[in-house]
Amino acid sequence: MKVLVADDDRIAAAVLTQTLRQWEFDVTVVSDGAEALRHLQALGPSTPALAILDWMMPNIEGADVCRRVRLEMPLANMYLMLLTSLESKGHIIAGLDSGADDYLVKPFDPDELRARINVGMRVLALQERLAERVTELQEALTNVKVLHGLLPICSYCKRIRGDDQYWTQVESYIAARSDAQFSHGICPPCATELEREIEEHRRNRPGGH
Amino acid sequence: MAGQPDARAVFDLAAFERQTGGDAELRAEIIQMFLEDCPARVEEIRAAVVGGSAPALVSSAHALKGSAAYLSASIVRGCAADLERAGREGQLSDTSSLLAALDAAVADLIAALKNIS
Repeated sequence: MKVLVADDDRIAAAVLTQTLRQWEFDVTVVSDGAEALRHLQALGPSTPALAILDWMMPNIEGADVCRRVRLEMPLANMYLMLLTSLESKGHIIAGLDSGADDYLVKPFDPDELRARINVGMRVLALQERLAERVTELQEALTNVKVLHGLLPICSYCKRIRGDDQYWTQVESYIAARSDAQFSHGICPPCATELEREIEEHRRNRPGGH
Repeated sequence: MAGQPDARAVFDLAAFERQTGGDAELRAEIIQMFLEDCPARVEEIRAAVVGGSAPALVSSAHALKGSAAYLSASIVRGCAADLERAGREGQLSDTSSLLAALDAAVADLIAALKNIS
């Protein structure tokens, strides 16, 4: 899994990067906020979905990177963590309000970081599954044929008049507008009526009884 | 300050080993980086105090605080945090004792790091 690390302190970046590599993450390291934002905005297959950002960095601060990502890419499936030496409650609140999903204080505890990254990966996987489901549902909706409204039907032959003003047999009309299919048979009242008509026809034939 | 500072507060090797996941190569690399960067960091702090620049003091002291935290160097981290706080509060006039404490703590830390490496 790809992870972006943004920290202008080379010691903090080295410890974090090496820890993540030990856990077999594919790590990209940058040393300022503008560069971090460029990586996250790329939105391609190589864009990291998980980012661990320092707060105080040159050009754009970590909290502003979070703010810009949420504003400019509100639907992007990205998990943003702030990892900073700023440990006041005010900074934690402001950091999470900026759009960060999590907030850790330096130096990170390896076990805690691992557990929090697992939370992030769980959220990312869940969001990805939901996005796939939404796509499937959208595709299904596109294929649904709609059959509703007031239909003009002939009282005698039961043909229906379509929007094109042509009269169509009811089964053709419904088949073209839904996934319904028809099997052909004869219902008992019609069978009785048909038998009666045949009998009458036979009787009326010259020489009939 | 009375007596010698607590060695573990100067530099906690066990905590540093845990922080670096038992990776001796990484530890050597971090110590090397710190020994290279630390003098310049302290001079940036001193220049900010002398120049009366609170934002520069906050930024330089914050950076040293972060590096010292990863080295498990509590005393240097604490001194840098005090200076960062002074910068945030704009109290640059009372920083000479903080600066002296930082200089002493950094000297102890560098000695401890050179001792193990």
